[in-house]
Amino acid sequence: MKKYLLIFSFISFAHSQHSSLRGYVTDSLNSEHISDVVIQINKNILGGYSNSYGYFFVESDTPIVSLLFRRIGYKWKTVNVANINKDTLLKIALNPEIDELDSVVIEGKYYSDLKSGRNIISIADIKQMPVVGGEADLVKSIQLFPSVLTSTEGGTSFHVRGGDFDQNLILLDGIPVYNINHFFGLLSAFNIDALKDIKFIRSGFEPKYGGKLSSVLVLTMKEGNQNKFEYMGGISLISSRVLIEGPVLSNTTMMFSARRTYLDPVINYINNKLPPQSDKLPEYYYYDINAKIKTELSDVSKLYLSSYLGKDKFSLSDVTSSTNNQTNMIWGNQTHLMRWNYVWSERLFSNISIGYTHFGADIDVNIMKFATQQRKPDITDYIGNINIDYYFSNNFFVNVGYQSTQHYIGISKREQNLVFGEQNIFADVETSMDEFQINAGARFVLLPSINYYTFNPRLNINYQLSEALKLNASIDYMTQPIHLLSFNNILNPGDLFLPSSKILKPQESLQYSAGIAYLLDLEEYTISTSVNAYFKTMKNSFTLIYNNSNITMESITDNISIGSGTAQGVELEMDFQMKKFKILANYSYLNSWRTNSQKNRGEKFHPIFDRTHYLNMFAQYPLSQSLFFAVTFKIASGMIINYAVQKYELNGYGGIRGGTYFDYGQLNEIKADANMKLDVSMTYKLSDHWEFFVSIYNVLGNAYPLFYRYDDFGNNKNYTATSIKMLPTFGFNFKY
Amino acid sequence: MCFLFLSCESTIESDIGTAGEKKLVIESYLQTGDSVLVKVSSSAKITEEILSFTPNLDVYITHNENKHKLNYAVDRYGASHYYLPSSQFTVPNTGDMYLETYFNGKHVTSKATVPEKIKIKSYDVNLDVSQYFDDIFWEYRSGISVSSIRLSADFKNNSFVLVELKARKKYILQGTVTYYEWATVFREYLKIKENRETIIINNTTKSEKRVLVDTTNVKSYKLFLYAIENVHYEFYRATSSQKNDGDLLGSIFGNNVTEIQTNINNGYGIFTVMNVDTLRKELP
Repeated sequence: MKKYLLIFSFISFAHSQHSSLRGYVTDSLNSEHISDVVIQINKNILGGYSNSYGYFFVESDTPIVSLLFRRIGYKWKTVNVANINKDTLLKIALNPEIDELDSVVIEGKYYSDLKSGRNIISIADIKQMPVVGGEADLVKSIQLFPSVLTSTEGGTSFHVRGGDFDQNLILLDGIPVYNINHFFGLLSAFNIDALKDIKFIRSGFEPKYGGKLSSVLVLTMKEGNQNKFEYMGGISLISSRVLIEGPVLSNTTMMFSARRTYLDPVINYINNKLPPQSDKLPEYYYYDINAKIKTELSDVSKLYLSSYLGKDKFSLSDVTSSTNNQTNMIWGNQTHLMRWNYVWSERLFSNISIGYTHFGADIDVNIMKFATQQRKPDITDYIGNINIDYYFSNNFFVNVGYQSTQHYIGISKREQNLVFGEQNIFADVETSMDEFQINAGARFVLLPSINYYTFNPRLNINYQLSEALKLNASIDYMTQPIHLLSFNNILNPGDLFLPSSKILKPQESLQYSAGIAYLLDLEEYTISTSVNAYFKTMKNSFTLIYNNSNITMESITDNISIGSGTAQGVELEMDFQMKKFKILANYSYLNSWRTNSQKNRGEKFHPIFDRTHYLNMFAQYPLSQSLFFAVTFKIASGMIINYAVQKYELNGYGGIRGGTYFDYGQLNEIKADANMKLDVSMTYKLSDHWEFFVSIYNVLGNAYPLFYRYDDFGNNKNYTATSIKMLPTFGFNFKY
Repeated sequence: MCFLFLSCESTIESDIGTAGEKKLVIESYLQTGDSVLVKVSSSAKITEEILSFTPNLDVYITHNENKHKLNYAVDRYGASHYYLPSSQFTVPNTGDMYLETYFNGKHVTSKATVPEKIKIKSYDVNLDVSQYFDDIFWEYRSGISVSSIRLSADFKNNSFVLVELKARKKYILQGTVTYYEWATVFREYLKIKENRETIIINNTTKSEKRVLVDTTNVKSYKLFLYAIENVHYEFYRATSSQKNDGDLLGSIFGNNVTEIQTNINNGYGIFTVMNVDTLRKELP
């Protein structure tokens, strides 16, 4: 009883603090809610952050006179709150920095705004980045973050801190999206115009995130401009896009965006003009649609409905007297979500949602009857989520929740879907003590169908050594119940989703990270730097032993081999800002290993995507109010290539085919030469509503290989690297 | 869009021409009760041609501490092999067999363990015997394929088998000379996952495995059940996979290459023993 009295008196004490404020942080242009805004009380006391829905609560022992709001992509704002009643629900509107190029006030960013191992990138920055094909690409932009490697240059699959590409959790409005590629991985599935916010986490995971090992990419769709109707879009070489947003009722806003390629009518036209017996061009299109409605039922109650729909279709029909090649590939995602936010009291905020996500593909490849693949990967999730934030005091915040997911997974046309349930309970406590800020929590994972449960403890500690210097350390234990069986190392729509089983246990990882961040904030310029180091162990990851593409659920365990892995690395980040000139640069060192009894004779080996050194740079400079330059620069260790070192003939016997075979020596041991690439873009404002952009990929024309292959035609036996050199694209964007 | 396809290629400077050292390649699929035959050849650097191989080796087979030196011969295609006639030695039903030789100063060894025979109790075959038009010979012929096989035997957990069905195939040479050969209609490598008596094998690619037979004069077929070693099963899967890779780098999209495991120390290939049981039936 005494214990309960003690807890009660602690809470009562916490509540007895005499100065508190709450409210929402919004964008001044469209009134969208802004998450992860740093709030400082009376200029220098850290008050906390706005949550995922823009809500904040701050409290202080001393009277709160002013609040300072800071966030990447927005100007700092100080609000005098000395005479504000504590029951008032504040609405703080921040001005985006990018809209007024001439009067941008550059102030310290990144540093201390976010915890170590996290990045936020603004949509405005992504839109300025050089592009291929004319489409600003979300996933390519996060490839500029440290320790993010791609399987192949130009692809949208990525590996974070030595993890496999299926270990990244991609949340669109809180709902997982399982396949993020259009155009066979060259473009990502998201229309950048429809997004409001992007957050990328690779360590210090909050317990509310789980189900994957290596990273979380949090995408939030726009809620719709609350102030006025807006139309925007773009016309590029391969597709066009349009977005409409605005208020529809006094308390309701909407956003609708659509994007589609127009290659298919062009290809159809060309095919119709070709002689009947000639080779036809493959037909291809993709489209995606984002839609969201937000309605404010009251000041404290908000209802959201959001949907995403994307589809790709590729078909090749080449049937003549001598050939019979037919390939049809269709794949796509859809997500739907209904979310209700309610502010029960100044300290209690709840978010309840139900959602649906589906990815399905139908792969039917038939090339001269020799190379055939028929797969039908399919995953459907029904998700329920309850999330509660409670602000005990300014330095004691709790986030608890429950998440239930029912997965329906299919792998072929002939087999029935598997049903796999997943229950999660999570709790996170955030507390501040002097210079320490500690997040401690855990996620309980229950998988009833395989009688499996585990705790995922998480700990994240920040220590403010001085005003400019900050230390960070975190421990993350992660569990991944759904696996992806990859048939090659780009994100192929034909890859199969597999639930955990008694044999295929959930993947687990344990990551230790530590870092130091330093800010040099001078009048003329600002430099923020950070160094992070990590060590990660992974177990129960598996790999396909042989390239057997026709796998059934029954034969899966014969075709895979379960192994483990480690990854360790160092990341250096440097952000330099001087007036309008901005550089974001980072360097990553990675040393990653895998061990698998069926690979490399049981000896450890590097994963195929491993690159030891990786340097990224993004710089932007507005030359005038109407002319804007941006460059991205990459220099990296070469990709792994497995040279055959010896070849030999077998006669064959009993099903073993005769012919030439190859020995590759040590697996994934040889790396190609280091590569570098510079992309540039220029945006020119034609009028108040239209802008023209030109982008040049690989402007220096260096070899930055997409892939390597062996050429053994004639006497010219050698390895070749295929790169795209100097690829210019252009297009138009508009906004009304 | 045209630019996308105007990619540029450059040759990689590498030491591939000098990488790796030549190794002995052994290929030996011994059957219990048969004589010993070991095919040998040599590997080559990747940029070189694989030339005919005339070895000068002393090759030994050892079983139950009895060591036998093998004889050398060249087959009609010029390939080298070492053999031991059945009058001197037949592959035993049990125990371990060791292969030993030296190549380029390296001690090349291998070990094969004779798997336990699996006796066939009975089997039913769902055959498709039909006339079909042969695109190559431009005439109608009799063909046979297998839809499914139901096979009863004492299968053990974690054992490996090769199931083959062969039918008698008729050859007519120069319009007058006729002879027959057992032609493989169906073949499947299997891993048995549990103790069981009956397995059912469905042939999903029967149209590709149709074999020309003379159904008017020849009315018999045989089922062969080989108990094989794990290494033999994996060797089959690895070689099939590497053949499907299609590129020396595994795949142009950075796929992992297929490694072929070998039980030849300091060499390539396979040295293995199969224990076979056979049952003959008449065509329906």
